Amino acid sequence: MRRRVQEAPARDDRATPQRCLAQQRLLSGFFAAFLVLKLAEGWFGLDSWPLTDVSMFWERKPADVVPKRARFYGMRDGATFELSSRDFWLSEDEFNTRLRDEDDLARACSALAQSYNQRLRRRGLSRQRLSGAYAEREEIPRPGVPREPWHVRVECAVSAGDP
Amino acid sequence: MKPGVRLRARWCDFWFRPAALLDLGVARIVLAAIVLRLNGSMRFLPIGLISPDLWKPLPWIAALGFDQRPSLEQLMVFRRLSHAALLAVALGLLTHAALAIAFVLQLLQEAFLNCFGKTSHGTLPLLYAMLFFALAPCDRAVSLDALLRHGWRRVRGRADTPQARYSVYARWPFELLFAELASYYFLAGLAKIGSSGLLWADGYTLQYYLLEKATPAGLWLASHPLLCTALSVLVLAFELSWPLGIPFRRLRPLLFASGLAFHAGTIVFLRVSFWPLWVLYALFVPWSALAAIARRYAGRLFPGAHRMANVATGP
Repeated sequence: MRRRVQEAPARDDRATPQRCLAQQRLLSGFFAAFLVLKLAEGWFGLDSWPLTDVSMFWERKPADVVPKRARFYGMRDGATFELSSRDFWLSEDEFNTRLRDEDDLARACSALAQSYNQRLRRRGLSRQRLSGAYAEREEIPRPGVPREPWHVRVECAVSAGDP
Repeated sequence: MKPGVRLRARWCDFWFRPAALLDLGVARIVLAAIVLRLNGSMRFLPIGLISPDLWKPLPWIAALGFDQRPSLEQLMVFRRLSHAALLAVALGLLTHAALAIAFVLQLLQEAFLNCFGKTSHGTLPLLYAMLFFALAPCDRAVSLDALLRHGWRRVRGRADTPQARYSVYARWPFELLFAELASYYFLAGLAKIGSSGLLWADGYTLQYYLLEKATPAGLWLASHPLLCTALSVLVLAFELSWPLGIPFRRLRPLLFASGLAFHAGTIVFLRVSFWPLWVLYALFVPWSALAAIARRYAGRLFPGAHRMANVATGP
């Protein structure tokens, strides 16, 4: 028995019942507010960071909807090369949001090409600017589901004044 | 006992049952290490290199004066301050102030990352963890603050006052963080069935995203529709079952284990890591229980060591 008493934990002795209750009530209010916030995020579908429940892959994609892939190509000194999200200092998701998911591919790829060139000009690297650019978008067929191949290519305006 | 009184007693017992301060102290160090590792030396600096015309500030970020993209110099100042604050958090020096500063800076810098047209919520539980720990007595164990306090007591001749090892405020940060994780997964599941019901789990949706992400393992999985369906059902079951872990604590080890399996799957098949999320599970490791077990085994193997451990940490 004595041993058990000795092993009993030393509690937080600073909390008197009155002080403890006041602090616990304050914290309880905080917990309740947090839980209400979480419910509101779910109920109202809040989507303004950091109050967001944006979840990846939530949207249903039926069998007749196929995924798309987008690619961006730049031209300089007669050479053509692919540019990835890293060339724009964007994440892969940000890059895809701008290029693959935009309705107007020509406008989307022009905006990317112009921002790429503007960044080089600001850094004094105008000689590395793109002289031309184009973007491609294609469908990826689902395995075992026959489908006509779909592919589109658009030219991008590399400076704001380009047609 | 009246139902209201009983409910209040249960509420208080749930949040304020005494827990080991050691767990909170070690979790504080783990949390600081996670954020330091996440930020690294370069995470936020590329923001200053992105073309300013791609900057689409969140309303509250614009209201704070960042209607233009922050400059590289500003980001470097934030980085230095953030690192210093996080190191202080890890050491437990001026812990609450350091955690508050680290939280505000992290919130700001994470918000910058969300100002380029893509919203990412992968690090939100980490931010909540920083907020909760800033409000909790995580400076009372394994910290320089605790050592300094002990030294101060000795100077004042009160060294014999035993240091508290348990506190009624040492449990709630873990409970609230678990509630955040549970809501995080649950809302993800709810968004899926809320938009299309159980049809989300017909396998075609998972197959679509696997083809889009195009990892070698994902492309293999996409060619097995039945497997896609089975995994989709498992994903929904996993995400929607997390709230059960709030009242039923015994389910938590199972939920953590299934969470690790889930994230391993998303890494291999979808190239989606979300590591700042699942690494937070480490905060729930019961360090004090592990220390007690280690002490017991050490006591059996080396009786002298057991006596020495008691001298160091108290009976």
